[in-house]
Amino acid sequence: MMPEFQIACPQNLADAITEASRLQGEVLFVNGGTDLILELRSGQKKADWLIDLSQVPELQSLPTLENGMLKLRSGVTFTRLSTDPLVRKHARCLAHAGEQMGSAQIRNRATLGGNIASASPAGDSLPALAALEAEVTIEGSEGARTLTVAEMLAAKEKTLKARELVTEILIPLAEQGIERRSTFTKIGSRTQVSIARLNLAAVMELEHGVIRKMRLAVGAIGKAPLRLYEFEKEWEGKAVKAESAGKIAGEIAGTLAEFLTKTVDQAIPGRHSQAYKRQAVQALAFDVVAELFPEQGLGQGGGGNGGR
Amino acid sequence: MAEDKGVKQLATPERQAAAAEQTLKYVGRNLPLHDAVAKATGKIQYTGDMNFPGMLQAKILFSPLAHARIKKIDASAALALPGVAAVFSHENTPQTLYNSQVWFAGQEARADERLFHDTVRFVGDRVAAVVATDKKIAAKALGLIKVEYEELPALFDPEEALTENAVEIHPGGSPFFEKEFGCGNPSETFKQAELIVEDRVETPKIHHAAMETHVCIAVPDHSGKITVYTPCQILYSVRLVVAEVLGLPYNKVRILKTPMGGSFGGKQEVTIEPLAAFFAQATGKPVKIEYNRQESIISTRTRTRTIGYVRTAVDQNGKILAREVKTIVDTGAYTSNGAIVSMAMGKKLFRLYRIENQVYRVQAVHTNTPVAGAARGYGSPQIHAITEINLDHVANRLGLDPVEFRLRNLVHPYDEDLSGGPSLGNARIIDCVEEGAKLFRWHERRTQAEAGRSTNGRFRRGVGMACATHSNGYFGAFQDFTTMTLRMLEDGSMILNSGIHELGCGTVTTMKQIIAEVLDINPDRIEAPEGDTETSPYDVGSQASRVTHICGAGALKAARKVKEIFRREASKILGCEPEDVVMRSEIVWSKHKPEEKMTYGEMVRLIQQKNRTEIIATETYQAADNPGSYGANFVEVEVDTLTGLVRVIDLLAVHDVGKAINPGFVKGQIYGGVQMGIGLALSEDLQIDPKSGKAKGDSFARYHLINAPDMPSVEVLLIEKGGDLGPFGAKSIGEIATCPTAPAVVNAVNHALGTNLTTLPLTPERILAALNE
Amino acid sequence: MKLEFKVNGKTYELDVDPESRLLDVLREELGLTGAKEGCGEGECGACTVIMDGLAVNSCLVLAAQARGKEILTVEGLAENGELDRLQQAFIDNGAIQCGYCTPGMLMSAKALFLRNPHPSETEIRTALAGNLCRCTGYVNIINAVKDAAEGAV
Repeated sequence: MMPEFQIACPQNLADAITEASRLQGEVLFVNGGTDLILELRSGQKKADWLIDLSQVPELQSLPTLENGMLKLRSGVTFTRLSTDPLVRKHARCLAHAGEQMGSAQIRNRATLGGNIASASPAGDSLPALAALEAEVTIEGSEGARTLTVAEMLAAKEKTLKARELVTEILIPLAEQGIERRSTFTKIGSRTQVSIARLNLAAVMELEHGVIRKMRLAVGAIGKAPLRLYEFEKEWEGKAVKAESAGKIAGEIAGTLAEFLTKTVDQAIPGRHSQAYKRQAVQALAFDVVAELFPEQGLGQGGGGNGGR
Repeated sequence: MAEDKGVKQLATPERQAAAAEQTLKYVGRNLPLHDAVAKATGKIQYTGDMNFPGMLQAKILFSPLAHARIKKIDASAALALPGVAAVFSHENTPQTLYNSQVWFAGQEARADERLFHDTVRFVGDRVAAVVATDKKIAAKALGLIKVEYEELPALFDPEEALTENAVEIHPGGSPFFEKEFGCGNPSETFKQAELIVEDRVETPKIHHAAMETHVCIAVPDHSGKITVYTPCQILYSVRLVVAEVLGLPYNKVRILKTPMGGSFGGKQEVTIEPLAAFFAQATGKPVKIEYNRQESIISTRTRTRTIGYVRTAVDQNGKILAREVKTIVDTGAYTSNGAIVSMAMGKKLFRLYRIENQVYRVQAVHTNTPVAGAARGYGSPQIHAITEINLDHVANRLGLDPVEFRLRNLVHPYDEDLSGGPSLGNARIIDCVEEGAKLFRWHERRTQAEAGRSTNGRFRRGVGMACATHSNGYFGAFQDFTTMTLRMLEDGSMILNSGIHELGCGTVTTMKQIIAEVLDINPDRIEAPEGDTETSPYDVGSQASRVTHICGAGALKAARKVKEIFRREASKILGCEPEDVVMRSEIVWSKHKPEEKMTYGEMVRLIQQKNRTEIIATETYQAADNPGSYGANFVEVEVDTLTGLVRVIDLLAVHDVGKAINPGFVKGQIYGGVQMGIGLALSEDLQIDPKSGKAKGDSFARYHLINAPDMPSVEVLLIEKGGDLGPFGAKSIGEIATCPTAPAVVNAVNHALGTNLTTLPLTPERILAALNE
Repeated sequence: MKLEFKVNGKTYELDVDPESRLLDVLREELGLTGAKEGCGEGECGACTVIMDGLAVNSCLVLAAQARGKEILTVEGLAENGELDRLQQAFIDNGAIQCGYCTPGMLMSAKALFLRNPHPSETEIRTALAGNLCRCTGYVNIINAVKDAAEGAV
């Protein structure tokens, strides 16, 4: 049963931040609440005050493009991520993550800010944000600061201090003349409505048939998603000419699969799930590359998983 | 008989409908559930939606330990909390021992449960309870109860329970029940067999997963009577246990069946009712107990975990010469139905294939794990998983097609049960398999799957099937009868008074259809309220797949009696012979005077006025047969060899149901049974941690049911050949519906991968591990 | 704390506990017991209601978060005593057995229709993925939603 707490319902962001510093005791922010309400009810988390962000207008406004960035407010729901045209265009992997997280009811409430703040190892948005090299704006009574997702993920301690909240997520757009392709896929224990046992996001940028950028992040094999820096470097600058694209894509998939297995072995050696994950993670490699090279028809005729 | 191939015809839905049109008016029709509108509008009141003035709420404190003696319980802080009415534990509750599954007075069963024991025997066992003015206070008070435990060594593995010096959970240890029975001379036959194929198959503990958790309300009255409102399957079982525990005469305990939010056997046994009844008696107030999901998963009942060792001997022609099946049945921490389910599963072995030499040995054991009990199929899903997976293994070793192999061995109509059970009746499993294979395009799809596999791609397809049988009541094992009173009222409407339980399967409507057919009355004009132990005649309950076959026959018998009485009395009014009385669409007349028509209601009034009697009949129907219900599932799967995830593409369920009183309800049962069977095959498992005894799968986040995206399309083919004593030839469907599914899916996966996976569920880890072998 | 919101077209002003969930308020304060608590963790969908046009698990929404919102529950589906075409389709297709998941299923399907009146079967299955049912295998539920979508009822 839920312990007793009070709720503050600020009308705007400034009030939310002021309230947070003013209130006594343990203060937590709540937006979608799909995790927090359960944690409060089970006693995993305790609060004297909840500050409800779900009706703070600044946090709910729609995604926009500003200064070469896709700007998302932390209150953007997973449903919005999956359907918003700007997100689908510039950060498709994040839209895919939005689609594949939870059920319709959960997606309608769960927010990107909440997913970042709770930083669950299996959180579906995090690999996508890492692959997109997103930046996160955090605000508190001492002002705002911006961190890259990479910095957040690398931090040993929780980056969000008490009474701080995520307000914005900024995603750099591809430069003029560069084609960005990106995707996200996961493995759960069911096609839909399943916590990820593994997830993978990929961003590939092409310029005149040359891979300019390759960014991948794999989740659920550690506290935070891991970027595949070495693998990325290996492929940047490689040409993907139309006539050889199929071959290259096949090679990328093959090496990525091997690389991922190695990554799992290094991340969770001796863990009970290692035997399973080191093999299953290869499926993500093939699924992701098939999506990055849609014209190659690399899908293998299956459809058991992936949810799309 | 298989020989009558010439006259056999496919019972397509169209043909069934056409046949029904000609001969039957209400039976064979898809009438909606009697309470569908109330359910669709949210107006129906389930027990959790009900409140009584002054009602208290009880919350139970469950053991965090798998095995421990309670040294001390300090409830003082809890009792001091405003709003707390009482705290109960073993120190202040009746120590009567009872068994949760007895359903008739005098039934022998090992009684090892108490409201609260001084020893806890599994994580989730009851330690204490708080009764308070509301749930919040009760929950808060639970946290204030201090319990000191002395931890005892615990046992989680059923096979370990059979070793020497195993932890003794109850006096005498395990096995607490052992039995062996069979036919012929299997041991001699095995000696001469050309091929013997052995397997060890394991089925998990699963949660019934009714969407409604366990809930009941007990209300005391000034006379000392306790009324219990409960969504149960067996009213008289609840009455029996509550009366025993409270020390009340049976007529001071009244059980009312409330709308059922799903059961599947999970609410068949008596779990929370005696607690609520005692709390109500002790506090003098109505008391509600409503479990949350976790509590329902770990603290009520599960399917037995079952380990089966099966050896099958065949000759080169694919004839089964002998079979030996040994099971270890894990009933968990308390006996519950451990002995009966052990026997029930064994009996099915003798009712599906013609095996002249066969032996069944069972050992039932206790472990420090959640208590097993009745679960849809009552052992059948377990035993059929064990044997049907093995049979595919045999077919594979023989190089025989699994369908062909089965056809050579399946039972024929009116075969005898070689272990001495009741006749199999008009057993139409051969029809199921032959017609099913045709409709599913079995051979073609099997060949296609095998051809596709040679390319060695990531996704592999497999095609599998399995057969199963289940019972129709208790005839041959326990007394089985039902008593019903049927009345026709002065406006021609009717009331059936019986001890039936609607579980959402359509029992009420089914009874109405049967009565309507006999009396030619609109089923909407019949009321068939559910049971109430104070006013309804005795009924064995919604168990053992008996309701349509036995209660339906009871309704038929009562309706025929009412018809006989009505015609007899009407004949006096109409001045003709009873056989001259015509009853059609609620209008009655003498065939000699067709111009003098009146409604049934008008006639009932005249009968009251002139004959000074009423149209009422009380009839007892005594079960006199227990034919097998049969089913076969055909299924195609696709396995992702990288992730080990299985997609069930489509499934055909063929069932020998004798006669579908309401084909829509029959199909509804099959669809749901398939969903449950796929879960058993692929994902459902309480996952008892071998160190702590805690169930990892104690929430729907960690216990995955098949949801809508993963549910395959399901086609149903019904074989309706009647021939037994059920109403209009009807046989059971609710339990058999889930029995063939799990082994069919497993067989399809093994076909896809060339593996011999035998431990259910086939989790992705198990599949990858098998592939890597 | 004070909560002002609209349920099934009617405005309510209530005093609720801060820790109350929308589900608690609907069931206990307003007597709207159609929404059920099947798991209390957003996995079964039996508590699904529509909030400002979107399906939500009312067990995962704090009552306070519903301030100013418009809630539609199963009790508000029928209008002027006439069943919603989804309700009629559920009845006609045998999509209801024990009925416990029905209110949640109906509200998920209704929410789907609000943004997509002609969904494909895949879209229907996805919309219902967060609603568990043990009775029907979803078969007739999916059929009913298809039927209602086609206006076949």
